[in-house]
Amino acid sequence: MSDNQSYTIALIGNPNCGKTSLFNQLTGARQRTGNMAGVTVTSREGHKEWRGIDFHFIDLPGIYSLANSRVEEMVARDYLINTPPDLILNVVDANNLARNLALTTQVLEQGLPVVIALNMLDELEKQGGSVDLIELGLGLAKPVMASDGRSNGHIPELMDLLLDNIDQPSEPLAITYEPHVEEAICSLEAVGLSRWQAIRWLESGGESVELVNDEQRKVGQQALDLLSSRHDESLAEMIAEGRYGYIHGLLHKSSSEHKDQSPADHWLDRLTLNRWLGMPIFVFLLWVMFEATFTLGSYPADWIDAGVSWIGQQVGAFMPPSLLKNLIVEGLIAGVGGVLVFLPNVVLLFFFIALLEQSGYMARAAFLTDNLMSKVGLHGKAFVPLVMGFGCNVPAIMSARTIEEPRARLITILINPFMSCSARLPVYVLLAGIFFADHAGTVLFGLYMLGILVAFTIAALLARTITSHHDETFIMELPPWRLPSGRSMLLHVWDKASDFLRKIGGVILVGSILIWLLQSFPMEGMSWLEQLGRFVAPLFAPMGFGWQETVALLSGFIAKEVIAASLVVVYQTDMNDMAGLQAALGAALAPASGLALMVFTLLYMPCLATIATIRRETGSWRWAGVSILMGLVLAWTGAWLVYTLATLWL
Amino acid sequence: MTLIELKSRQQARIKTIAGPEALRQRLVALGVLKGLKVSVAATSLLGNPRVYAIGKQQICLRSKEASHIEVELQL
Repeated sequence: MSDNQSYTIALIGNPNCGKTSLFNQLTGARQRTGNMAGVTVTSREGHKEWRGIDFHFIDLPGIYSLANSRVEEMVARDYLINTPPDLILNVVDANNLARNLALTTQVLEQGLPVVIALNMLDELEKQGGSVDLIELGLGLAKPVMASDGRSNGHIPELMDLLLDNIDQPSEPLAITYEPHVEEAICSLEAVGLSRWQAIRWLESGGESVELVNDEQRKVGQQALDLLSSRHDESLAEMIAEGRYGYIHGLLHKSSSEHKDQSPADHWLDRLTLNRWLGMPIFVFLLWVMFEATFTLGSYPADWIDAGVSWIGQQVGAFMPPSLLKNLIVEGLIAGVGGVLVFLPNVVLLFFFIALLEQSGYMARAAFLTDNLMSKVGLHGKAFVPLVMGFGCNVPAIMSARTIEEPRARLITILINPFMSCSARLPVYVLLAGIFFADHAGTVLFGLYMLGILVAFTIAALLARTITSHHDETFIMELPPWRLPSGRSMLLHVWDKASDFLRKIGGVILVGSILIWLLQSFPMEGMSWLEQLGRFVAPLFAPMGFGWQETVALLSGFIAKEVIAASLVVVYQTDMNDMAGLQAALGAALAPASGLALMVFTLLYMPCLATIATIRRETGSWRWAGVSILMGLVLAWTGAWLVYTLATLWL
Repeated sequence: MTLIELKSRQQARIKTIAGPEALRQRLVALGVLKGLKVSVAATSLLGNPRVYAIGKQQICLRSKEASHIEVELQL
């Protein structure tokens, strides 16, 4: 084999089958997230070189069937038809083998080359079940290998198996269906469809395969009519019966089932889904999450702060006094360092979100909140984009693509900026630490809750003004509880941390320098920055903000992290550490103003990247405009209200 | 009786699945098939939605969807 060969391998499987962990193991740190050409739901791509050959892996969205017309399913289906990969790696969850194999049979009927990776076998065996891999492989006439999302040991073996199965001939699987269904398949085959196309066309009730001529359409319609007159069951059910009949025959020989849920899982569900305790537990967990984000994050933050001031002092001592020195010490180091300090908080927040996602709690929370969501025109599925918004609104808004009903999707997009993204976290941590040091975690929690409250209120209002197309069904599988693997948690958190660092090296660096320049010139008289600040400041005077806060908020339009950087640069006169900044801010602002500033930061317009995303996802500037306007009005009103109320009490 | 009438701690079997085509396809794809054992696994604060243990899985359904699933009580 030559060195420049390249093969494409697509990973396919049910949601929650451990497909993505396997993808991460296969591609390692070289993975990248990307949009596939012309598709709406993201799928990821990555590379691995093995024995001198380049393997290109594609992680298709997790799906249950190739014959449903949901967005993620269409992505996978069209991909397999339009650009068939060299090999498919079908990841199968051993704990729900029958249903996972139903998808496998669809792929096999299509005659595509497949290797099967059986995941979570250890979980099954722990509960007393077993699968005979050889027997299963013989039955399916495909190689089957056990894989494990938690350790890397089997990867070389899996790579060799993939390599061996490239360019192997592949016969389509033939399942015999109920006689009437077979009749319909035959009639469709007679007008030029292949067997798998005929089955899929019937299974989807006349969709998901495009019929090319009138004759096919006529025969197809006749077949559908005849079948629906003969049977009460839907075609999807009749074909599924055929599939499951085949699968059960297969599993009868090769596996023994485990009993229901394990006692620990059962107990966890009893607790977290409890009718009366479920909601309080959910709210408590969120509180713990924000409290820990603040408290645990403050230790490493102190070390980073100390490191940054040390560097600042060294540079200050080493360089002769000059404008460049000021730029480096007061602009660059202060600004960049001022945001870098919050890296531990951001990392912790992402860690907790990943923990919620990977343990299986997220789906439970979606169940708990579904009723509330339905009151505002959404459903539990909108929960995931909303929680993702705590991380960053841009991917969160993109993930709303999985919501099909246009109104629900639009609402989910428009309220997402009120879910406080991690870029706003530095401002809260900074201000809460100054003004509410003893209850900082609770203030943090309160701010996020306020964001959620505003989001829901706006959603309710939007639901009453925008007309809905149809109700989307809410059917969701609750995944089994899983202990998240350390590796995938680390990968996830590292990913987010490096995003944050990249942003610090980019927009925050440039922003800090700009702010410094504007503040340092002209050398005599009032600086441009102060002039600008004082010009706009009257707008913010009712909340007790000075020109410094005004400028910081203006700069936050580019990216929310810049707010913190701006505050640092603006207030950093000759102090070189956080304590100095805290003292300066504490002296300049009343606690009520500090609170108002946090609320304003929470609610005001989305950052540039988010606005561009809203524009792209809704397809019009109108909604992006609505979002900006809504944010500004709400932020001003909210901050003013909070300031007014807080001055009464604080 | 339909699935929404099923009380907690009762066991039933799925008899028929009715409703709009898209719903039936979706349920089938999730492995909700006739003949499977079903029971109530959890109820949300206001009683809707509920989680059902269907076969070996737990599936969350709103009353609207669950009302399309006809079940037979098992003693």
